[in-house]
Amino acid sequence: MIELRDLTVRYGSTVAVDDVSLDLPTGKIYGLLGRNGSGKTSLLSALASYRRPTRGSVRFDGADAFEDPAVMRQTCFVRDTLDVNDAERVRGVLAVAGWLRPGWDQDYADRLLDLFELEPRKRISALSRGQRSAVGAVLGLASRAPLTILDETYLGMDAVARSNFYRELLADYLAHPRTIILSTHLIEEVADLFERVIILDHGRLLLHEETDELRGRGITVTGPADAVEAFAGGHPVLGEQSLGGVRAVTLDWRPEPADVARGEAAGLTFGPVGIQDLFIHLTSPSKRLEAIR
Amino acid sequence: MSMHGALFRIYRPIIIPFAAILLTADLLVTGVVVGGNGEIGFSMWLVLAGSAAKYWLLVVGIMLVVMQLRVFLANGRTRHEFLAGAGVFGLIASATFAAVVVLGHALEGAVLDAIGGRGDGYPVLSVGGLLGEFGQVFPETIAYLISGALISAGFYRWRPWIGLVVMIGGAVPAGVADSLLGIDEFGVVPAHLPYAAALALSLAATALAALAFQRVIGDVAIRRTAG
Repeated sequence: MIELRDLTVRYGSTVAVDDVSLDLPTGKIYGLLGRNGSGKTSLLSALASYRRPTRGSVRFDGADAFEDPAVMRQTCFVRDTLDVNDAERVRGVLAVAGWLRPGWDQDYADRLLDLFELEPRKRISALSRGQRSAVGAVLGLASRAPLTILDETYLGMDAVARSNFYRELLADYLAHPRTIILSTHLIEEVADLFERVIILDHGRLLLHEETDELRGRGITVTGPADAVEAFAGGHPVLGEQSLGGVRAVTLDWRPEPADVARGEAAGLTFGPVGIQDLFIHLTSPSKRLEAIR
Repeated sequence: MSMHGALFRIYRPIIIPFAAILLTADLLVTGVVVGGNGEIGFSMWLVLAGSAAKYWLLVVGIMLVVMQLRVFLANGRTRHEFLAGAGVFGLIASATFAAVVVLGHALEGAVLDAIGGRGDGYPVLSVGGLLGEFGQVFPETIAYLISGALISAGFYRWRPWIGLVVMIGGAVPAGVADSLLGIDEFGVVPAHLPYAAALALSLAATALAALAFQRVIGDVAIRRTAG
């Protein structure tokens, strides 16, 4: 169990993480979501002992994580900027990981290099943004660390590379279960990987729930515009789309079976709520749409 | 792999070409001087290698903080493990560089003697003098390494103006070692302080700076960029 207690991270007078308490059972994939400046990277930095919390603690199985060698060995934190030296060659970066990481799998790293079409002789400084991110993905996956933290590791990757990354992440997670925390802005693209979702807003914990529960928290209603409007009246709308006479709205409301039956009788169809719609709704209260009248 | 083992493997590609360049430069310059004058009255090796050992280790001290710290943390090591590994690496590297300076000086003297190129002022090194010269150079190389590390740690941890203040303290070990233990190209120690006192003062300054370095880096936040 990873426990964050009253975690606060300050930079001078700026509070990046404000009194966050979280219990993270191990062996799951977490999605850490938040708008720019919400404190995601600061929280992850404290979690990975890259930064001592201003207040509060991070504990792994009851032990204080900061500067604990056993905890550090089990933690791999890959930041979007990569903690490598630009003058190094890709193979040199991986070699250092091989010397220092107890769980490093060089064969798997080599396969990932092929998958992402990375040239081992190239210097980091010569890589594109997407290729640098791919190096981060290789470091994160081949380390096989029991706690793997990937902070916006997809940055600059094209759609093919991102798809390969998500597929590898899931396959390797299933083969070697561990705790993975993914921080991302591409919510819909990755949402299916998440087992639990954590949302930060202005440094505070807004939500920590099982993904399925979160999806069940609202509903998407699709059908003739008039029928949708009548059904959704009075309930908070998270998002809406219209095409011709057809309208789809996402509602922050869990209808009773009788309500669903009534809607279906009126020609409406129902689906789960999108995590992204919910995220936008929760973190942008000023932009929340007025309930349909 | 041990921390200091990893550091040696990281620095190996830099050390070997550096040593080759140094040796080539010494042979070339000494050859030109001896070829022109028929002899040389000072140790070119002490000038070149003596300076190179100090300044290279100063740069290594800087690079350890700016380049290696975050790499080791990113690969699952603590700051204190890094400090311990860097300490062992620094001690071995400093002792090796000091030994190379002293042995090179002895070898240079023997070669010049053999070819009849040794001038009157050349600092001839006896077997007993080897240890004495090592005792002068080794504390200096350590002091420069620690100075480099503390100076860069100040800039790494704090804003530039605080870094400037720390830089003044960081320069103390190098300054003290240079002024009290430094030897010139004639093998002379300009400072007129008994060796034991000079050594004690130099080591004290170095130890204080090392302690300050440990305090600065012991819980430092790992920066995103190279600092």
